[in-house]
Amino acid sequence: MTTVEDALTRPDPATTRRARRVAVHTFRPRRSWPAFIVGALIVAVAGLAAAEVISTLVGSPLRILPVDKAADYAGSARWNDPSVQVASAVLALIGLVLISLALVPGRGRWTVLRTDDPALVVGLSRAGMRRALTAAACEVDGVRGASVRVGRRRVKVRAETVLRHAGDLPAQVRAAVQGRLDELDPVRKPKVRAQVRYAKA
Amino acid sequence: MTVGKRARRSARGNRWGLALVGLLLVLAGAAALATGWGLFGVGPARSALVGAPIVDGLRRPWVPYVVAAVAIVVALLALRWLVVQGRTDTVGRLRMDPGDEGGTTEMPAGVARSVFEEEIGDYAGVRRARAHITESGVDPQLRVDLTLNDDADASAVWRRIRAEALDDLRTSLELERLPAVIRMSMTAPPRNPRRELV
Repeated sequence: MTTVEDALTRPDPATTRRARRVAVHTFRPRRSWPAFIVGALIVAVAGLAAAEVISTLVGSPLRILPVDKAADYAGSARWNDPSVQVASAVLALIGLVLISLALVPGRGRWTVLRTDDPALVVGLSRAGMRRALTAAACEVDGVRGASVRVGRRRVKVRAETVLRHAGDLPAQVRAAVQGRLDELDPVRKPKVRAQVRYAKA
Repeated sequence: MTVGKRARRSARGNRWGLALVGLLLVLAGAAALATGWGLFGVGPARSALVGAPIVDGLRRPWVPYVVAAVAIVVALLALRWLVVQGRTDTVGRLRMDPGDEGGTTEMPAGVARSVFEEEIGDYAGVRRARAHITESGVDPQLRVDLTLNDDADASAVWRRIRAEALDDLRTSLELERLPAVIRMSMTAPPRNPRRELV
């Protein structure tokens, strides 16, 4: 529900757009774990390589890595060997996975709520969104329990009732959940679908 | 500074780093596959991975030094990338406006936080509130983690935070602006509800 104050101070569309962009970017997945894993692997490989080369130059080679075996293999294997081709394909595939991780925005754990204020970013956890909508569905008269699945574009509500004839219960549940959703005001507004299941009393 | 600038910058760096490493792997793998399929000629396809010309090239005296230097640089860059992941954007001390005497006052962030957390904790529907000062000691921002009851009016809670608690904190810290990130999660209402007057 908007207060009089909120209605009077509605900002211009440019600020609203900026607020939405900042908020969405704030809650986008940061890819920390892939970055950590890739970084750790690079440190390990490059560090070992540097250690091996430097120790060999100094005169007391460490020989942690199997350099001799690798050199033998590299000398005898050919580019059109199946093992080499499989290994290169795997390498390219891993590279594609990393690129897609970088380019795909990702869903994130937080649903961004609209604030129209670039200095205030509000997010609701995915479980929290589910709980709030489930609570809204359960508030309808006649609904004994409900389960909600929140997707990117759709919210599916399955309500359970012990009533014999539901009448317009699906519509009521849909309206209740839609009302709660409007109250929360996420930046992306999913459509609500409600289904009623008749359970034994 | 816009909200969460440090965090967003590190997120963007991560994506760039992943894209770069991914691109290198794709190029290397694709080049190896192409060589094997004969796209660079039948000769290279049948030749060994590290054949005679490459071995001669590797025998040159400066090669080990260059390899070692490149490996060290790469390792250090990757190490920095690793370390950045562990860093949080929380700030421990706030720097207050320097007075006329020219000195600066530093205040531990905990003082401002606990007052704020207590104030919010009393709002209707709020079960738990945790606040952290982020970004910098001079231009601080706020990150608030809330746990609400699932029948609480989330919208009303954050509007109230903006109108009351956030404004109070901002004036008490003598700041012109205090950007904030609020993260709300929900939990079932308590069995024995607290008597709430507000």
